Amino acid sequence: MNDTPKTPVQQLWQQQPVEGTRMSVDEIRRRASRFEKRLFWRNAREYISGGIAIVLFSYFLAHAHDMLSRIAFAMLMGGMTYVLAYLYLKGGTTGAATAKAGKQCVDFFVEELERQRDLTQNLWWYLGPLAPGMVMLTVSALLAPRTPHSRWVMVATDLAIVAISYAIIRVNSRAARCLQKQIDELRSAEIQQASN
Amino acid sequence: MIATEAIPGSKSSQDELYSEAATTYGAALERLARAYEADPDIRRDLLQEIHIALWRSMEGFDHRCSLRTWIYRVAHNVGASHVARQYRTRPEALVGLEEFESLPDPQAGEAAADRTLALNRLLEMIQRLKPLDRDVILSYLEGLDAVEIGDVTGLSARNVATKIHRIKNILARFFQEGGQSHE
Repeated sequence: MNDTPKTPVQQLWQQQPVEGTRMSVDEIRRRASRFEKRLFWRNAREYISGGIAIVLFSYFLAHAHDMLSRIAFAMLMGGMTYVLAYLYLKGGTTGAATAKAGKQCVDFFVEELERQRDLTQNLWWYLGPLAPGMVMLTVSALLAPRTPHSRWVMVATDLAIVAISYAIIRVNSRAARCLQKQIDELRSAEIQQASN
Repeated sequence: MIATEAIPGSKSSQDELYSEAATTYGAALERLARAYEADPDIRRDLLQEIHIALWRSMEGFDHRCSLRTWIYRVAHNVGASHVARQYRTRPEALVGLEEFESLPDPQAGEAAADRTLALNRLLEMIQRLKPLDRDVILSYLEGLDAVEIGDVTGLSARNVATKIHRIKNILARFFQEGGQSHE
């Protein structure tokens, strides 16, 4: 503890009125449990949505008329399974958060920025695995003996998906660059420290 | 440092440590939340988030640093994450102490005689700082010495000393505090 006399600004800061918010341990437990439930259901929603997509792809696979379409739906099922497995393996846990909480601020902040950068930068982990299936589906639609109109609808849909994906990637790349800039600043401060 | 005879890592130890921390440092945590969030409703949520993180962290508290240092680390880390989420795409909205020193103060020279006005100006200033600089100035205002600030933030003693020097200059300029040594 610092025993030197407080400056007027320190006094001003430390003597400011506070609401005196208190939470009992039981209340903390309740809120922590509510938070964990919210996380659980958020993850569950993602797995359930992915599961529904896999069921739909398998239905289309079973009812597809040509081999290329079947391969395309099989690839989409594989891609979706990969995305769900990635989510499961990379998903954060409260245990990891607890272990990080008491780290020194510089280390914690750099890790936090790096985590956010990786999440925003690596969009391919959920866009990429589905791309081969989508391409294959388009090829099968173009080769199928249908009306030119339905082919154009398919191509237009794919182009829209590509455009939306591109926009998402652009926005996230910008965010990743901003985060990288902050990481570099912190790292350079550390290097300056070490050389001093 | 707060003395505790609880067994580290046990549930009762976690609860006891948290209770002691909340009792002793509750007001400091509130002040800290105020420095990280201006909106009162979001601030209430942030304060709750800090308390929950603190309670959770006590499970892993290994007494390698003082409880006080641990509490400040956890609270600052939650606050820094909050700021990082807000300014993810526009970090330029926040400035470092170095840049702050050279910024013209529109009210420079005017003594902030009224305590509320002075406190508001101080809060506004802190809320414009980058997270790490915010950690340092808040620790300084809470009365931690340079060694403790280094232990909380992970910055070297030399770097902390430089930052404290800058903080004193800025505060002197803002509040005409000058001439009072406090390292």
